[in-house]
Amino acid sequence: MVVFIIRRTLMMIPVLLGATILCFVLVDIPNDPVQDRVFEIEQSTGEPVPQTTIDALEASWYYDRSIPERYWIWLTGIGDTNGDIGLLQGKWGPSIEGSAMDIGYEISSRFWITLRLVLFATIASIAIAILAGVVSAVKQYSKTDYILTFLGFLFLAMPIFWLGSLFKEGAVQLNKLLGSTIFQTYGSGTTGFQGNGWEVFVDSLPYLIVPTLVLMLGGYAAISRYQRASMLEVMNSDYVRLARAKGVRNGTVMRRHALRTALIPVATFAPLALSGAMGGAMVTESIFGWRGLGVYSLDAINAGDTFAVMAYVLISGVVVLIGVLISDILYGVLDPRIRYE
Amino acid sequence: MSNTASPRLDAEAITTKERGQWEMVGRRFFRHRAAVVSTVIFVLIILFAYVGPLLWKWDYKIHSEIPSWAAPSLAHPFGTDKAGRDMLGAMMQATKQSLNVALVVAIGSTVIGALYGAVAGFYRGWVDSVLMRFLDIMFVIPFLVITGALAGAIDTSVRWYHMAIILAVFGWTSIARAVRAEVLSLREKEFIEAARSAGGSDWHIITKHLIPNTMSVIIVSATLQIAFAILSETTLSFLGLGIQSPDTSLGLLIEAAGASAFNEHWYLFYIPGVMIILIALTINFIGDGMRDAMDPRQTMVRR
Amino acid sequence: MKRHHMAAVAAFACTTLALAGCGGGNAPSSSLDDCVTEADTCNSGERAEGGEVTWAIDAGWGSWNQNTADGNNAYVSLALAGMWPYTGQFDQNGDFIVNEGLFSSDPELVSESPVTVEYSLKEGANWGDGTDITVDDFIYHWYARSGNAELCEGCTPANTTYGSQVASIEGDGSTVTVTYVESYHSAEWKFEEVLSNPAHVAEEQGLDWKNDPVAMAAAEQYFSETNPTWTTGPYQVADAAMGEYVIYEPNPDWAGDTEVTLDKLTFRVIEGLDNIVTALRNGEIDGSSPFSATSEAITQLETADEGVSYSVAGGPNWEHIDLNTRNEFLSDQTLRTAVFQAIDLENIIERTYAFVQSDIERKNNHLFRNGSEYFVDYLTATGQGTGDIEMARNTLLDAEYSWDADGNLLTPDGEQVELNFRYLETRESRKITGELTAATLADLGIQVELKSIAPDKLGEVLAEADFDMINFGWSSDPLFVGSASQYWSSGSGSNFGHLEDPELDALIENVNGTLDMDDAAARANEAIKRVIEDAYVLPIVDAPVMVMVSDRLVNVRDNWASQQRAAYNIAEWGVADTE
Repeated sequence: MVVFIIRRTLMMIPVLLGATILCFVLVDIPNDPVQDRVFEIEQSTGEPVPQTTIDALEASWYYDRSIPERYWIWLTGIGDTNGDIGLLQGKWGPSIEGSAMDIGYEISSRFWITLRLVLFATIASIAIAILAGVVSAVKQYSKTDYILTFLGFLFLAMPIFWLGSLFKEGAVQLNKLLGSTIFQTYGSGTTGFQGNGWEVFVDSLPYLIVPTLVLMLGGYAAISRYQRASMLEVMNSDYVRLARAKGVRNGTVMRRHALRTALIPVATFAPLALSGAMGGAMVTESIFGWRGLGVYSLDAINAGDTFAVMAYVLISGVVVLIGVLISDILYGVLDPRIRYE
Repeated sequence: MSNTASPRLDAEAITTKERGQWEMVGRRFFRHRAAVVSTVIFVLIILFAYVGPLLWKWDYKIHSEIPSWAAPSLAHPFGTDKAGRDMLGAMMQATKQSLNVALVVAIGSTVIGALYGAVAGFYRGWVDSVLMRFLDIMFVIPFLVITGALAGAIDTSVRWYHMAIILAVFGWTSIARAVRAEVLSLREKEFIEAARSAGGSDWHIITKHLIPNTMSVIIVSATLQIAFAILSETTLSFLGLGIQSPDTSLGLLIEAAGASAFNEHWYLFYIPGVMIILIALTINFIGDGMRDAMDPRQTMVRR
Repeated sequence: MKRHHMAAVAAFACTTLALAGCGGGNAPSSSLDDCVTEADTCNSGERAEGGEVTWAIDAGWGSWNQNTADGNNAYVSLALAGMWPYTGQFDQNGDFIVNEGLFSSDPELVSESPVTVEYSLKEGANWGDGTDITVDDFIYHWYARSGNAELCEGCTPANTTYGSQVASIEGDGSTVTVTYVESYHSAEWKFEEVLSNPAHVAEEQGLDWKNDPVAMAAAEQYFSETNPTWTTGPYQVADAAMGEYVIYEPNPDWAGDTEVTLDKLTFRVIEGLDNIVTALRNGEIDGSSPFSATSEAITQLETADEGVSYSVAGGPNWEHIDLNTRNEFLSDQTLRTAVFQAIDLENIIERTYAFVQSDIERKNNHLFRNGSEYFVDYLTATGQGTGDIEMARNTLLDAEYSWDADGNLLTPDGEQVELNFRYLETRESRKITGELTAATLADLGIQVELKSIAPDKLGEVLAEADFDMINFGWSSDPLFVGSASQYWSSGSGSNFGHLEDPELDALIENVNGTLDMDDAAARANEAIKRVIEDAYVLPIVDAPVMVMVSDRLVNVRDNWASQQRAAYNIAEWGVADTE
């Protein structure tokens, strides 16, 4: 098992390297943030930007180097640098947002914000999906099954950005009806709020509910279909039929035999769903103004902030790979037929 | 959904008069009620998008004689927007653009994915390893980020075909996996052996034998790819990283409608939203029906 | 019909006002609706003691130090309005009000050659930490803005127009004298920013900024990264996060005379106008003065019944269409003139900016706002922007242009004229401006290709002159002396269409030759007249911006002339006294 994990972890390295090279080239080639920044400053001050400042910006963002060299120093930090770059040395490189903006700090603080959103949404969606999937399977071809199935298809077809905009506006209307601001529409917590973990959590609830709901419905659809199918498969399997034939009560069969086995695919799917929700979080965060990773990557794309985009690519890549790894491990742990050499 | 009907059909096929494979598929498909209804709706949507503009008097452009922000009426069934655009005309154009993207992505990504998967599955060994590692790389790259970054890098107005190409180039991985898995089991079959001993070239075997025999997987994937593409394109357009003016898209229309879901301009928000849902929903049902019809063993829906 | 409704509302508002003495009375108005007529006193009122206010800023920032290129943007400038040592503020009428917390009187010109300006510090003007403001702080700011590696090595000042012109700074108690180099001759000497960061804080960090240019750069970096705890304003920072929020509490040591009533003032970043409006309607914030305005946002605010007011007025940016003189067709001044004559600005404004500001007027002077004392209209007489296709045709016919059988415009050499029009995709009004320009130019036989620009590519497109026609914006603060040369002189890096007109260059040179504002303005108008003859830049409007305020706030109103917008009088903000 340990050998398996180590081997798989080592295999991640070339994949991540390949992904970062591909992304770096695609993102960086058409990119020239210096000119845009210079224009912005001129627009703001109404006065020309001195050439020394332009040169200094270029140098501080490493735009005076070729792309391969920029990638190399981004990765290793070896060479002629200002000491703020080099992934292997734990430095993420300069952000064009400002020399005081540390990408590493941004990424790590935003990671938890995104994780909170994604975690709640995924757990909720899995719970509801299991419930719906089981009900659907048990009452196969009943009206309930059809309604649940249709709902599943409906949410699968619903663009998250539309659902998010709808729910956000719905929350404002609900607040109006109730006459108090129960749901907040922007941000992930009260500005500058400080307190212990529990207080922060309570403080964040009004901010958390609506976006979580949106992200949850997005994730629910896929998993419930999954759960229904696997439940049906188990229910039609020989050992469940045998248990029934022996006269075990229906409820017991469902709980002890069918559900337990039918949960395996969903359990193994969960880590993947979690990393998949990171993508959905991008849209949710931008609608609800969460200062999470997804929004960070969006802003970075719009600003042409290559090193920040790369940081996101790397983090999300690692999350996806770890998700796959955990999923594989879970599969082995839960399904006795699989063994790791 | 109604997949249990298929074994009986198979039995029927053996005992009664001979039927072609596609005829059987068709019969099974038409048993899937939701899929049939969906097909009808989807055809209507296609007519709306491609034939509609020929019949409707307004196009999607601003006209000075159109009042701004008119509520839906006979003259403007979907209302008008601020600048003086007939929303029915705009919807037809936006639906057309979004469908253009979706159809091109479906075809493009399927061709890339099917060939890629077939080659990987057919050659196995180091070719397969290399191809699969590259697939891993593609899998790890965040889809919205890379497609958005590329769309943002286009030096001029992003048109629908830009988006179609970008989405197709990054959207083929799931098809490649599915086709590869299918080919891995097919390549050991006798008819491949036969084709090989008859002196068929690799390319011949891949394109004339392997891919046709994975057609059911490919068709289902391609169908579902339409839903995937339309959701991706509208999402990117909504985020400002997709189609840009003077082109339009359903995502752009929703973005422009902003927070008007509950005010007097509600129609600007709901109509394009419902259109996206209708397209994605019908496509998913059609895909489901096709899967049931062509591959009775498989039941799970993708994504 | 909404548009007419909006206009009707505004018209009605003014009739009611007329009865109540619209524009006539001198009594401060208590409503934001009156900002159209009484921009500098609207929404005034008695303040209650205490209260908390949350104000939204529409974008974040990446540096706390406004000296640097990273920190030079309107958002951080607004966020730091409570503590930053601005020299002063222009009010809505363009009058300059010196910072009451810093100076006891206006800066004084004590010598004209070299220009020498005397600043009188207010008694007790301090950094909020017990340290008085001294001449060292002036010198620090000079070094930071100098662009001179011997003073500050590796600094990235946003501009050096002030710092590079200072010859020396001397202090004597509360009097500080700034002596400029001989070549400095700006009529705007009075408005130069002279302070930024506290020198003594840099020294506390062990940085010998005065003698060591590297330490100076390190000090600038320190101020970039560090939450400002010092203050020279009515408030001091209680808590802050870069690019996210600034929370203020009153500064007990402030030397200004205005009484501060608020207990807590929060600036928080909410990106996107829609999000700001939603948050305001939802009661999450008390107001905002974002740098944009859309009719959708106004509709939202109109239908909101939560006690929210808003007003829309021309903001701190002006929109214009530029032509690229290096384009093979547009290098001909005749064609440029004809193109501008064919563009129908009234129609464009009607379908874009008028939706948000019903009383908006076409901008007829590149540097001075309509209604400014220096405003002169040279534009109307030329027919530019009228959409008079006949006039444009005649202009072209006179220069031997012709049209082929399909109505396409041909140059005297028989080439078909085709142009592109570029605009920022994110600005809807520019998009529509492009569409309408394309439509009218089609009547003139010119094919126009619309090409949008991605949000981060405008600077690149401009710098590379990758356009034939382009619609973008420049800042339109009351300062104008540097603007003409930045926009149009042939050597300027911001002369994006590469106009090269020696006569214009001479006129521009002239603007900087006087210390008198009136004289400088007259000279600037000469340059404008010339640039209009060159048919180079066609102004459209001062882009409307909005301020939206919860009705419980008083003394909060927009100010186009200040980079801090509504926060220009932050000390006077308060919660209405309802008793």
